[in-house]
Order: sequence, then structure tokens, then C-alpha cells
Amino acid sequence: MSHPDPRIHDTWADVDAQEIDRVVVVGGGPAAHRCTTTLRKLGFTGEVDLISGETTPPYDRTLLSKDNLVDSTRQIAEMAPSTTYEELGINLQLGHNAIGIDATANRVELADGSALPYDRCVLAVGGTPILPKPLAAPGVLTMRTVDDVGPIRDALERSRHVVIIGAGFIGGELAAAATTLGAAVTLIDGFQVPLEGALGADVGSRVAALHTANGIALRCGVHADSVSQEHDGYTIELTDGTSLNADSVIVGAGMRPATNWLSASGIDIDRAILTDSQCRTSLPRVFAVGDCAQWWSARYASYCHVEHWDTAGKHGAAGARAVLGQPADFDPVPFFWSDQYDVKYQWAGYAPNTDTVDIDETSPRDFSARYSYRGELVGVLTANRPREFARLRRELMAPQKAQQEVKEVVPQ
Amino acid sequence: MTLNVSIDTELCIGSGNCVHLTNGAIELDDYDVAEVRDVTAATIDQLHQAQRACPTSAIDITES
Repeated sequence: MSHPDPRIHDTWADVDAQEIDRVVVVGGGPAAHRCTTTLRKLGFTGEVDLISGETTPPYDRTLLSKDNLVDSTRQIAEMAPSTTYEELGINLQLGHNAIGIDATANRVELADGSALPYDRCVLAVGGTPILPKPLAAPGVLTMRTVDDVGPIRDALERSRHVVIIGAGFIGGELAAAATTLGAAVTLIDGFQVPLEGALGADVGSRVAALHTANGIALRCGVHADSVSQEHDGYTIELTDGTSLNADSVIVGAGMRPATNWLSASGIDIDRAILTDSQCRTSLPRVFAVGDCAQWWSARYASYCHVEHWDTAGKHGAAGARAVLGQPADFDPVPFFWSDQYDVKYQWAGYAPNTDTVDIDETSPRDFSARYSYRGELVGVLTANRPREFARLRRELMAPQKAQQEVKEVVPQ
Repeated sequence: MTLNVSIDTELCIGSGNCVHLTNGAIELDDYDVAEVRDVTAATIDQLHQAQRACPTSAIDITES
């Protein structure tokens, strides 16, 4: 199925032949990093600007909870030595927030009043954590950037009791980090088991068992109604009428693409920025990659929006190819992983709908799950089974080929 | 003491975390599969960090 939205093709009709002297990439995460470095790898010799609101050069966000949160002596793992950008001729502009795009004049407008002209612009602005207003008491914490690490570590170290609202992947990783630092944790989630919405109740119950075995007090099936700051901590009112006290509160309620600043630009957004498989947005000369984008997928015959580290990096590289007029054809099988306690979860697939989950299990920390919809494999999740994950992922990416391989290796 | 770093190519999916963490010790090949180029380019700590950060547990490090 081709891209369903003809507007992108129409607005880009006259663009492709133009010469490109300057590419402006807005964002400071893995998608922006991979986009700028891939432009150079592909031989682009024009000007490349990377504009990031963060003051740290692109760094490995996945290590924030794994390493930096639990060990204050660890340096932030930057994605390239500081000299690399200069060597590659990438103009790194940190601490600059973009506030608008003028798609007629082809300029990115910055908060300091200046504007950057571009021949091509790549939006790789990522997302920001959701903090619902009733929960946003002073000092309530969220986790996304390097700036969040210090305050969360301080809170975990000095708190006897931490309440984490949201038992998704971020909430789960934070709970695991908190236990490493010796804090008592209550983990709250609106679903009946953690991750029920993303992974289903069967897998969610195994995730719950892991938290409980590690000493987490799990409160599922209730939402946090409000958080209020008291003189010596916080009170969290729950929807079942009970309340909790805590020394600190962290909210892991998901993310929202950081696209508010684009509302006046006229770019097509439906929660995230819409693109075709060539990373092209509805604005000519403007591309979008990573967590802020949702791409049209021929594989899934739908727009896909995920917030996965691995997918964002690969999307950034695809964006560089697209900028240079090479086929980007970004249509991956999304992948993510999460390390919680001594378990590595790995997921591959895009499965907004599933009707069957088949689980093969040795223990709650050693299992694989196959997600199907109408008889077709649409997603796989494994816990501490990297080799089986590799096999299942191959099956997911090329079902017929994987079946042939199985036939070849199984003796008759 | 010799450090032996190997990539299990059956597990690697080319996320590239090891590439940015090891200062050129590990690179992606033309098929986006990681390969060890020059172990001495990275510190032991960087190599262990890359092993921890590998999303598919594809990096094996042994000391002999």
C-alpha cells in the first residue's frame, strides 16, 4: 500500500532537484546524532548544524538509569568524543531552543531571536515526560534527560520511602534503581498488572512477580488522583480512596512528542509529526525522525509511532539518506529492550492489536511470549532469552524464510 | 592479561550502542553488524559499559 496522504507528494513535487548547501538538524538525542554523523559518512560536504535545547552533547540516554543513577562517579556517556563534531564539521549549537519554523523563508527560529536558514531541516526533537497537573506538586520528579539524574539520585538516596507513579518501563527501571540505592518503593499503576496495556495481562503478571520478589510494594488497579506537598514529604491520594505518604515522588506516565513549538508552522501533526517512509513531513524541505515522528509504514499499512532508542537512532540515519535524496525507505520492525533487576526484556514488533499470547516459560524471569493477531505473528517478547529473541525476531521479520530455515535444520 | 572481546553476530541487531561507547574499538560493518576493530582504542571500563549497554547481550568479554 502506498502512502495514503497525497499532500506530502504534492508539496514536495518541486523540491528534489534543488542543490543542498545547508542542513539544520533540530534535536540533541540519538536521532539527531545519527542524522548529522551519517550525513558526513555519506559524503555530504555542505554545512551541518545540530541545534539542541540541552546543554550536553548527544549522550546515551539508556545508560542514565543503568549506570549514572546508581553510580554518581560515572561520567555521562556522550555519543561521540567532544572533538568528533568539530572534526566532522558539524556545527554543534547547544542550549538553543527552536521556537518556530518559517517554511516559506526556510528558516528555523530560535528563542534568542535569531533564525537559521536551511535548505533542508530535520526535526529530531524527541519528547518530554508527561506530568499531569494534579500530580505536579513542587519537587515531583520525572526522568528523561541528564538534568533529571542528579535530583532523582538525591531523592532515592535520602528517602526512606519513594512512590513511583506508573509501572511502565521507565517506572520499572527506576524502581529497580531505587532498590539498588536502598530506598523502599511503592509502585502504582492504573492497570491490573504492570505493562498490561503494552504487553498484556499474562506477561504483566510476570513483571509484577519480579517487582514483588525484589521487595517493591505494588499497588495496581488504582490511579494517583493528586499529589500534595506536606511539610515533611508528600501525600498521594489514590482513586480507591486511600492515600500514601512518601519522602519523594517520581512520575513515569509516558512521553509526549515535543512538538508544541511547531503548531504555527502548519506541519501535519497527529500527536507526532506525520511523515512518509522517506522521513518527509507535509512541509517541503522538512523531515522528521525519532520519537517526535510517526512514519507511514508499508509493512504495517499504518502510521507507526514508537519511542524506542534503537528505532530513533536508525530513523536518524534514514533521515540523512532522505535529505540527500537517497532512498530512506524507513520501515523497520520496532525493537526495544529494558533491563530491570537481573532481567533483560527484549521486544520486537508493532502490535496495536493482538488476540493471542503464547508463553513458553521456565520462570517469571526466563520466558518468551509470542503475540499473534488473526493467526499472524505480530510481536515477540523475551525475558533473559537473547538467543531465542534473535530467532523469534528473524521469524517476525521474514516469516516464510524463518520457516524454511527451521525445516532445513530439523532432521526428518 | 589479554582482553578478548567478541561479538555474537547471531544476536547483534546493529543498534550501534557499542560503537559510540568504545571510541572506535567496535564498528558496524556494511551489513550493520558489529565487529571488533581495535580493542586497544577503548578502555576496559568502556568495553564493559558497551557490554552492559548492548540491547541483545551480543558482546562477550573474557580476560586471559
